[in-house]
Amino acid sequence: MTRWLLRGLYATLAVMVIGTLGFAILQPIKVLPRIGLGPGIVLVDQDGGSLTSDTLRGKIVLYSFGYSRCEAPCRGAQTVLQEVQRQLKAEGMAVPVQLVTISFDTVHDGPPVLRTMAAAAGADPALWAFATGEANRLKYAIGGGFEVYYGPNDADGFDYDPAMMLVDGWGILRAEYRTPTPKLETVLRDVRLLMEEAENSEGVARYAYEAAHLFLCYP
Amino acid sequence: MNNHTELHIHPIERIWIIISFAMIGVFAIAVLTAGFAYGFQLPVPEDRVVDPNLVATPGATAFGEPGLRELSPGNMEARILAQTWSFSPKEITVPVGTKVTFFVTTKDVQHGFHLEGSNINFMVLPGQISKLSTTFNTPGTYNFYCHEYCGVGHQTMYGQVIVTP
Amino acid sequence: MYAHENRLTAWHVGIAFSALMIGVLLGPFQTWEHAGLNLYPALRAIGIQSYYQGLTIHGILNALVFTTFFITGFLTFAFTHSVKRASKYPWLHTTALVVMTLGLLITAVPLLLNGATVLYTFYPPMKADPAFYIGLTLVVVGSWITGYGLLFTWSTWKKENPGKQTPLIAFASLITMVMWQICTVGVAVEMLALNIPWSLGLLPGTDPQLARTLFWFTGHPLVYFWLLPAYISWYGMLPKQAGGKLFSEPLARLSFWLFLILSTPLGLHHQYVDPGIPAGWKALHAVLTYSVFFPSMLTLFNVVASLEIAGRARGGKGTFGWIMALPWSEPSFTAQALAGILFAFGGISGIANASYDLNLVLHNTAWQPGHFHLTVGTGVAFSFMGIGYWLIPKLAGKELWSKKVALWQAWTYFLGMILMSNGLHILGLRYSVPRRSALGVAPYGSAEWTPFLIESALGGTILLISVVLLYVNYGMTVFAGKKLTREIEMPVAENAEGHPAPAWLDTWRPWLVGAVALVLVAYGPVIYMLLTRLQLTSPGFKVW
Repeated sequence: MTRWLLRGLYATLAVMVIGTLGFAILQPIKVLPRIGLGPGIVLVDQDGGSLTSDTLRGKIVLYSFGYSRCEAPCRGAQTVLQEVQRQLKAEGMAVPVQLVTISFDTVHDGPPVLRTMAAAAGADPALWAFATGEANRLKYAIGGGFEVYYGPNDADGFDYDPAMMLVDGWGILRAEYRTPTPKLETVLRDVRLLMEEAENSEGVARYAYEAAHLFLCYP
Repeated sequence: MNNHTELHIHPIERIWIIISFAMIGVFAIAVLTAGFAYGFQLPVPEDRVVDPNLVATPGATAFGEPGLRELSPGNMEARILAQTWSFSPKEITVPVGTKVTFFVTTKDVQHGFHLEGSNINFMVLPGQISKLSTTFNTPGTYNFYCHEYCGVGHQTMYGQVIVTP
Repeated sequence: MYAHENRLTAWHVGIAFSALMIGVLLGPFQTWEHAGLNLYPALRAIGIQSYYQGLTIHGILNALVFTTFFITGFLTFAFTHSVKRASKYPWLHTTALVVMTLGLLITAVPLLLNGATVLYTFYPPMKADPAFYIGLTLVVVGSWITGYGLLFTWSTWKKENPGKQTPLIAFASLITMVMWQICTVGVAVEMLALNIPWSLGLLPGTDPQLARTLFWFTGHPLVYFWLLPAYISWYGMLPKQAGGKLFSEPLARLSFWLFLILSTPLGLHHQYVDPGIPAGWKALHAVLTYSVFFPSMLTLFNVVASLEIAGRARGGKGTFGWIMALPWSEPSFTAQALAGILFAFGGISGIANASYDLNLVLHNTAWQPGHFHLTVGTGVAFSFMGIGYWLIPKLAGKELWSKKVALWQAWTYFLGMILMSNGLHILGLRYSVPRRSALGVAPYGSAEWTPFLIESALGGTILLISVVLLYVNYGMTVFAGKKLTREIEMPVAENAEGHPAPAWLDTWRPWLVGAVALVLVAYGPVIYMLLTRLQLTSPGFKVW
């Protein structure tokens, strides 16, 4: 009796140790951290249509920020987004993805200007929206929600910390890229991971995904 | 060989053991509920890893020009750079009711950050950014201290949050 | 009997108390400085350059050197006299002493020359002289060798005594040493892989977050390494000294096993507010920290019940009358009993520290030195002083110089520590006063703090008087004492209930496997994560 009890104990401990370390080291499933709830968004896009957190629900959204007269700091994100758009179109998307470039310049960048920006960037309207919103609400969403600073500067433009934000279909912020030169591979990898998670995390696999979150199986 | 298997426990000690277990259970549930369900914040990794040798260079990171910025009305961000033996900025002024998110890192040794009388208390480590937020609801002057030994000038390292009515 | 072991123990204990003498004398200067009486300029004359050098010496000598040397010595003595068998390999114990002493001397040079003013936590990237790290590593290695010596002797004893249960004191001494072996892996890796090569210039930089995690892997079980020898005395010797028996030996054994399992996988509770450790793992370690509260609760019950047996055997009546009947005229008993009382309060303030979110209010405030002066400073060090009241006469072969002075020492220590730790606890909790800071010259000092700073300075002064009494007494005993008229035997408490411990409390493998498994589960993923994000970017700074 005692012997079997002991064997059971050892087996349980072995499963615990191998399971924990195996999951943490091999990372059979990789996930992005759940950083926090993304902000509520109310925007107007280049066609004058409304773009809100509700209409974006169920889509993986990659936000970038800028304004029409912005040069260098906004270019980094734009080149990456162009490439993301190209690759996603080529691969096809299992889960809808939306790229959104938000302009801070609520006075100057109305829908006509946004259309010009979209055309200049080569944006596919089905995939990539340019949008702006009401000044105060925008400040709450971008500054308060995403914690991305921007504010008018002396040169009649804006100072801002270059950043891109990746939000999943449940509206949860999953990745932040706070740099003027985001890496294409990282962004694409993260978008693909979110697509996989949205596709696969049903039924029993859900628990495996929860375990991946618990054991921080981050890429 | 001793083949005795039963552990003899005195009845009163049995009660004591049950009480001990119950205490541990109640404590654990209480702190975990407070910590997770009520959203107590602890500084945790956000993948905002920086190179301590470059962090103070203007333009390289947000800590190149540390200071207070308004993210949205009533919501501010204080980027504070710790170094031996000072915080920069040393003093920040906010209107009452403001939510302030502190981002703190160091360019040299380990430091600490504790805003007196609050839950804003964390280590400041080279290569990591510590972050916690609080809302200032009472006007007054609040000190924040470096609470980790950082050299012979450690005792001079502090700063203040001035909350104006 | 056991002349070699006794002589070695005498060296260990002698070095331990000599280190403690220097360490504690520097303590009151801190409390005086806080209260406005800055005597550090005067200390320059003897080579102490700053408050922080004094603090570093205070911490290293008291918390690392005194404890380790006393414990290795005391456990060698206790084990030998418990199994009643001389060491299998006496030379191993001699080697251990030599290695430890060498380590101490190597550490002492930079420490005294202000080349390692990094406090006893030596957090990188503050960079001390390499000799500091190398010396401390040798002290730990020497303490391992003592443990190996005991294990060899024990396995021989087992063969010579088939079927016999290892006596409680020997059993608990082994567990302490095995626990120490498991938990020091962390600091050994920190020293050998990071601190030593980095301080020698072989590594371009170090990773402070990883170094902290490895440090606390050892840093918390370190307190159990300090505490378990005191528990050995409380369980195995104190009941006998009080004239009673151990209430339940099986449960005493169980609590030592639980300490073996639970001591190590909980170090992250020192890092609740570290930015690089995920919240989930902090929470797991919080729960595990609570669980180690359980064997301490078992100990509280068992030791108090044993003392009650003693008090009643001495004619004590009524619910509390037995307390008065205890041998309060015996300094060894009194010191340990008072240490136990204050230790209970240290345990309570420790529960607050362990509490995940309450810790946000207390982390690195004056509450912390308040807490650990009750635990290690009283529960452990004061108990060791009490043990010294019979052990030192035994080893020196001399009568204790004065029981009366020893009793004064015990009661002044008790009073001084109450005042000092009470002041520190209040300063930390109510005013968020930072610890480890020369508060007397800090620009942020507040008038509201003054009464409590004075209270703790008063406590520090009384403690100074107490340790002067201690050393006069020890010194007079060893160097001018009367020869013992009757041989002193190690007090060994009998099991009161007569129920033997079940066999599963005398089997090592399941407990060892459990201990290692729990460490791997609680620490494996965290350390793996830190290794995959290794940033050797901090070059090292000398900031003192």
